[in-house]
Amino acid sequence: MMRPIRLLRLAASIAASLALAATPATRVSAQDSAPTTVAVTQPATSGTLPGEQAPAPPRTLRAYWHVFIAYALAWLFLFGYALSLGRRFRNLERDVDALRGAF
Amino acid sequence: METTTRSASAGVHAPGATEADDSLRGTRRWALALSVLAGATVLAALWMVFFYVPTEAEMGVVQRIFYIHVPSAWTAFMAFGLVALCSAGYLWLRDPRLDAIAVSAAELGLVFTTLVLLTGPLWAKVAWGAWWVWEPRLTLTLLLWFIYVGYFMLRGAAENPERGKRFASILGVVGAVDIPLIHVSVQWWRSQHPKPVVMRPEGAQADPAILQTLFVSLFAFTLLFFALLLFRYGLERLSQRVHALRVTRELRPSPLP
Repeated sequence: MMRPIRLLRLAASIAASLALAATPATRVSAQDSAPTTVAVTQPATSGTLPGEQAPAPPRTLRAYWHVFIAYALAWLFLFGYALSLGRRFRNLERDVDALRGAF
Repeated sequence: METTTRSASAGVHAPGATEADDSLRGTRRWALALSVLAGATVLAALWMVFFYVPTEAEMGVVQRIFYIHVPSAWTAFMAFGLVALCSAGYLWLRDPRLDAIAVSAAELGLVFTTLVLLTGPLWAKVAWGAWWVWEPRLTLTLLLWFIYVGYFMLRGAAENPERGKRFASILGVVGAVDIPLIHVSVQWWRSQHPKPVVMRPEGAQADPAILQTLFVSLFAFTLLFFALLLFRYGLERLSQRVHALRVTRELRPSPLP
């Protein structure tokens, strides 16, 4: 039913996934985490009591870089995907033209 | 437009060619209209993320990744939900249009899950001090990504394309079970991932500006998803037509020597 090369490719992917899953899990303890670690159980909240001074948010250069990379990567990825759709469309239209010419 | 003119000049139409051309043109028009709307909403969302919403009190600037991470996850779940619905429909009705929607949504679901898996670690490295932690939500999301990679491998690996479509449809339905599991994973198991701030039984818990920005981002990503889905659906229908034309040509009796 399946071609041998595709079966091999499937087996290689499964092996790669298992190898990835088998690597020791990274556990982050309170001591390990960076000083910028925040309470992750209640994120994105403005839960400061009136009159109480909120702790200064971590404004490290690393955080700015991570935001920049996340947005740049996401939009470049989506743009690349849209371009690939356009290219595939043109190729298929060329195929339709060629096949219709044969009728 | 160009293809219709050329085929007309050839004198013969492939069966159902003009109806298919009209339908494809309609899909493309809708896709373009939605793309313009999605582009405008995305720009509004980006303006809100970088100039309107205040910096979150506890996490600081890195929390802004939330406005791309959460909408990507929402869009991926919507895409895989659509895959499950259309796959079930295809298994029942065997309508190729349902399969075209399912495969288009599956590809987009993979794209948006990849975005979730790329943006999440960028936030986690600053917030947790680690790029990746094998905790329930992250692991189940990675599993979801692998399930739908398997969906495409199944489609491509079968000798008989119809059989491949059927197997992939079954996986498309079964794989969607992972979506509610991902959602409840932070409540059911010990999870390091932040708990929901909007979909909570007690109601949304966040600053109004944060919620407004999140909702605009969610809306922008939803529009973007449907625009891309229409383009991808048009592509899949065109691919099905190329396949049908090839089969018709092969079945045509060859002229006598």
